[in-house]
Amino acid sequence: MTVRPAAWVELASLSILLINLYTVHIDEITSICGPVHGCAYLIVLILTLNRTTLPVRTRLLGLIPGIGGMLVLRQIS
Amino acid sequence: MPDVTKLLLSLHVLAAIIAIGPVTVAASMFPAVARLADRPPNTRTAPNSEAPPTDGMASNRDAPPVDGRASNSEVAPTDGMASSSEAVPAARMTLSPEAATDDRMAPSSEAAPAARAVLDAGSRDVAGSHGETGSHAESVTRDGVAERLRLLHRICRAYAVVGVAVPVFGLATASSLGVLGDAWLLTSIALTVVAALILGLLIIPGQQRALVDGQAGRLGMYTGIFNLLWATVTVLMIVRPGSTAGA
Repeated sequence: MTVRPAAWVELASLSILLINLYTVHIDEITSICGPVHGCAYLIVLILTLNRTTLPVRTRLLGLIPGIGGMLVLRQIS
Repeated sequence: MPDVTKLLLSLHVLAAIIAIGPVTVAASMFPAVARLADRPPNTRTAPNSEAPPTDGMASNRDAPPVDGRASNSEVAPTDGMASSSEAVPAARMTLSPEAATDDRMAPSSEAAPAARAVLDAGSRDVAGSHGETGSHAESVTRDGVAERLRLLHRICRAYAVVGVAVPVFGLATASSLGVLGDAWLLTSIALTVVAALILGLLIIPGQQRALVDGQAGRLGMYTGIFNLLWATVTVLMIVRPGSTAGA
């Protein structure tokens, strides 16, 4: 179950990015969390699209930015 | 260079070393191991051109060791790698630089598990391709080869996914350095895209097919191209032709 950590990182990093954007807006946080979020998103995408045993609908859920990983997890469990 | 840029660059380089390194090594070993499985069992017992003289090895097996090469073979089993049951006869039958390599590798037994797996598989691979005569041939069963192939494939697949971090952090570093439009960087990006496509569309699916039918096909060529592209990108990152920013 390797999607789980990636999905959590995807959601957490997006939350941090948005909270940072609407509150203190520190550039450093944006610079670090942006790539982390991008990585987590891509890893979730690759891992879910590769799971050919899942229904196509569930695999495409991974494409949704930010919450895609969590949606896939919910569908699987 | 701002601190954030330093951090991004460090993460980019770390990801490149940790993720792409294992992929290049494991993917390179895969076709060689697949060829072991490919070979019919009866040809494995016959002496082949790769193997060192077989009569010396036979005497090593039957009679007490008397020559220098045999004394080398006595040293081999004492290393740390010999804990694997397959590696013991392999190391004993391998008479030369390979055995010495194992000895040098032994102290690094506290290395990361994945790395150790690579080393272990590597030493067995080398031993398998050079010393597969006599009793060792029986110990290299098809199951053992399939197991090794699965492990190598797993390493490639897992680290290829982690490798996503390399271009992502690379792009972040480049944009924070303001060099995204430079020719050397655009060239590197193009080569990286080609390498990623080769890895994702040819090497990984090719390995999956090889796990089923045991045929390596053109995997060796694809892996070689991938490694060359990767080496080229690495050199471009260091030399940065045409760049005036820093050394």
